[in-house]
Amino acid sequence: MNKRIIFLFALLLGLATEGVHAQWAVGIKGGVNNTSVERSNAGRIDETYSSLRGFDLGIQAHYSFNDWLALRVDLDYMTRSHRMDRNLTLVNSLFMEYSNSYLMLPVLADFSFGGSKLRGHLLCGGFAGYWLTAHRKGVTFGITGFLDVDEDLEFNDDTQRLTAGLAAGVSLSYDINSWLGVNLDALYYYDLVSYRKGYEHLNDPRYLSTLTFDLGVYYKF
Amino acid sequence: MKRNIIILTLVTLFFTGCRKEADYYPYIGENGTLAYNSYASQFDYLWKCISMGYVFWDIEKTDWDAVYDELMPQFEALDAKYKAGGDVTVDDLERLYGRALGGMADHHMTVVVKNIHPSPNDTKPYAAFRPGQAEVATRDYFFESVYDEKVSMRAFLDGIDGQYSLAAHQSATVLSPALGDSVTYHYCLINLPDGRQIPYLWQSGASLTSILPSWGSATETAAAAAVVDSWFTAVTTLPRSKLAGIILDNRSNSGGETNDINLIIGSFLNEKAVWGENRTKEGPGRLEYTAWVPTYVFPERTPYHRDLTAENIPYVVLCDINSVSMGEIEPSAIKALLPTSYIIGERTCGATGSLLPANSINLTYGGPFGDIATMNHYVYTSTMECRIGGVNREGTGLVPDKIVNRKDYGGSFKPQLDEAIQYIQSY
Repeated sequence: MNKRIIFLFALLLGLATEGVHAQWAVGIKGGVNNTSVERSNAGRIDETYSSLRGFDLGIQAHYSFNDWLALRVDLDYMTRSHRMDRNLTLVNSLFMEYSNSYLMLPVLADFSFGGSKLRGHLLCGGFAGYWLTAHRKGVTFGITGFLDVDEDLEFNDDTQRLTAGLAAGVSLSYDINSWLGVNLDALYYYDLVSYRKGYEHLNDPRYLSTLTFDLGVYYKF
Repeated sequence: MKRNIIILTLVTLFFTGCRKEADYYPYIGENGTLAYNSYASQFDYLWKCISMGYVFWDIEKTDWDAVYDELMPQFEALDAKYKAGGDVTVDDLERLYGRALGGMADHHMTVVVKNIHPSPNDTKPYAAFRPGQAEVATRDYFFESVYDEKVSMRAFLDGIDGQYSLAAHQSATVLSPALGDSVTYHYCLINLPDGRQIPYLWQSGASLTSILPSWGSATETAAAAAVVDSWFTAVTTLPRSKLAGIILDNRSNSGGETNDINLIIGSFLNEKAVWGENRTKEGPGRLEYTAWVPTYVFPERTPYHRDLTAENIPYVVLCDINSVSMGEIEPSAIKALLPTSYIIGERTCGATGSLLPANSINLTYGGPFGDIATMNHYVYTSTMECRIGGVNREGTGLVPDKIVNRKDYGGSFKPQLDEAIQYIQSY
């Protein structure tokens, strides 16, 4: 599934670049991220939710309309993880880390400024994403006491695997020569779709937000 | 360019307000007086707590949202009737809660609701509904008891001598400190015509763990401990040539202590083993669960030991439609762990979820909640889902290896025991 999507994206990119080589750049990128979750405590009195670090890897494509505006489209494999801790006496050793992976497709307007080699960028736009895998690791409760858990999670009817939201950030690029450059991005992904579906009369939406720091290298056509 | 950036910033700010707020979720562990003063808000509170804390949503066939849609207007109609000077009775509440809960899988479940506007026409203090009990009564093999079944069972066992030659027969009824209820044990040592013997034990509840330590003491439960010890001693000390097999009778066993597994299974294993898996809720979402956590049987926690498998000794367990909770979990776990086991009787009740005391609610956010004495409701429901041998039998029960329904024999307890003895003789 993932390979098919990447292949399709590369194919479309190749077709689109025909005849406009001078305005295109494509490359790879990778880095670290930090994901937080926004949710209510939903009737629970001793749970806290916190962010966890992750990583992302992907490809990037830029199409420049002029010297200050470009369209940027990335395709990333991104881990988006968070943590739940219990803090009541006796159960305060219970916690769970939820490690999720997503395929993310940000589409960004790239406003750039600066010199001919070193340029700054303001990025803003939106993204669509697809929840690929879910894993949890922590300590849970059983009849015979507290036990370690380390397992993959299955998706179910309450899981919302498709997501979308806003993405914005800043970037710094440096053209090493006429055909090769590097960039350093800081992008913030703000989900507008809850990763859990609600019920008709009872909703507890949960939203992820991810801040990424990526280093990329690109080839200019 | 500046104008574009300003527009984009405004658009971004607009969209960041598009995250939805959560609905109000009550705290399921609330133990103070609640503010609700209408039948509709009482139903809304219970509906939400069950939505969050009920542990069988993965197998539940009831559409909980449809229940709300159907019944909320009817509870609102009760409020309107009361405000108009009409009379709302516990029967009205029982009828509506019966419709809400009628198909629920949890066979431990009992929902008790106080009439917040008591009526002079109330025939009972509370509205109460047990979905499992209602479902069991619809089964085609259900035998409607017109007598106290446990008393009848005891009478049957008291009269067993004469039908089978008995080398020993002891019985005791004591108050179980763990169950807070009486529990009866019968031990019989049945003589077969070929000279071999079958140690037989009937237990009306699962309370071996708290009763056995009193063996030899002057406490009230010592008499029951002596009966149980006689069974274990016969099972573990009779020479193989003399021991034809063993029978554990869990018919009409209403359940009790989980740790009894160590005695009725651990005594016959050499090593620690997984007898089942449990999980609780891990979030307010209906399908948010903890991991399935293995639950172990510990042979070192029992003073008795005999390797039934190595000696190929048949272990027959009797169960019936009134084998509930541990009364049916025990035969399910025995079947899963002991290859020489054989289950005879009726499909059991299907109340296999595990329960923890109500004061565990802050640990699990599921299980029994409320307090009918201090609040307007009490909901008795399983704390944990349980599966044994990979099978979740909540609402369906254990199907025996050999089905012998009492209904086919006019309600007699004897054919099931006959089948057990015949099985052991031909083993």
